[in-house]
Amino acid sequence: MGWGARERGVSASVGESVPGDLGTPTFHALFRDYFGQMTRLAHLLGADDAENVAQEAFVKLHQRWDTLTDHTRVAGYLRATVVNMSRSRTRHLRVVRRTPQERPPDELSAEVTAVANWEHQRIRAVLGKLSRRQREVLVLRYWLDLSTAGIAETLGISPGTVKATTHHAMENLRKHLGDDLGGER
Amino acid sequence: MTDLERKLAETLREQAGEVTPNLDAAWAEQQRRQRRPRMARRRLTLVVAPLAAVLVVLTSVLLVSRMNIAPAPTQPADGIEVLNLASFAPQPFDSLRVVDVVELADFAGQTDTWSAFAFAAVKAGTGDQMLCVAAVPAGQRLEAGAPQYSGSPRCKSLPVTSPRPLSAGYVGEVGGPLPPGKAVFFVDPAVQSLQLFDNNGDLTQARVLGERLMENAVFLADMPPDTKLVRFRAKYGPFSSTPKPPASR
Repeated sequence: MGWGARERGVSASVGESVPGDLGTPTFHALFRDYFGQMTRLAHLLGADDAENVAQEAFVKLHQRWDTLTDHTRVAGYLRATVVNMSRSRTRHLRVVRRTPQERPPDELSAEVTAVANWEHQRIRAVLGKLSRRQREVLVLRYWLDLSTAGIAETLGISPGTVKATTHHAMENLRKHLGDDLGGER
Repeated sequence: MTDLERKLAETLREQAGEVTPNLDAAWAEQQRRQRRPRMARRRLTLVVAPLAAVLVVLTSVLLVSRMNIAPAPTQPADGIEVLNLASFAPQPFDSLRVVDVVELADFAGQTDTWSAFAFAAVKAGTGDQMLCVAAVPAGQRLEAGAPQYSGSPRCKSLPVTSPRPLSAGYVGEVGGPLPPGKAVFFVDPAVQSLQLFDNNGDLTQARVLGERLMENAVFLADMPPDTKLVRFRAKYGPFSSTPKPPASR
């Protein structure tokens, strides 16, 4: 996906920045490079207001901008913030949807449904049934292409837990999708 | 990568592609949010400040309470003084003009029972005021010609400015006008209580006899015969306040 190269380039630019200077090109460049990615990450993790989550993650980053000592880790900080905020959001959504006024579960739009093929729809349906951590691990691994260490750092868990969770998540996918989709290894 | 992993990655990319934020609008929104007053800070001010004030008040109350309920520091030496007694020396009874007499106690000698007296006297020739202790056979009066117990009387001259609160004292001894286990003390008449301590810290409470000798209250103490008195405490009243010396009154 090429995000590693992009992160390195952004980190160098952030390291040359003037901390705390609102709207400096470096923070702006960071925003331009990462806002879309963070919004999509929140969307994949189930947040219904992905853009708001990404915005707040950048606000938090801006508030801590002066205290950041290692600007090469800004991307990791953003990812961890988005993951945590998405958790809070999905947790809130679960509570809200238990109430009598619950809204119908998110469904794919007609356009998306038309475009997505049957396999993808089934995978997305199964992804929505996985546990929060399994879903996070799969998104970080297969969409952001993060290493085991990167996933562990983002989620605040050990690399061993990452591997085990990934394994169980893939097993669940295979089990729910059946032989026609994920049976083969 | 297995086929399932490949399909999963494709699915995720496809799902991610559904989100296409407008970066320019998002950047404007981001700048607006950065200028927004921090709700957390405002919440901190609204919640933490009153809590901090309450905490300060509670801490102050707690400290004051602890200071009030804390036991007063014990002062073992409060009012306790070292007992230094000048010795009473034998004096010929004939050389003394008795001014005042207080009967102390009766005690048994080897053959007879004796009555001990404390008396104030003026020494013939010098005119010195003396405080004395004497013992005569029980039933007899302290007067010239009365038989005196061995070593009786014993006296101590009373200085013009006698030390306060304890002017003098005589601790009974073998062959003296008071037997071992008894002691007589001449103290400031304002003293209401006299406590005596031996070298083990044990307390002996002296009793006042109610009569005065030369402006001195007379206290008699009964203690074990082998007791060595080393300290005393004179109490002047319910609050044990020591009156100011005459020079500063």
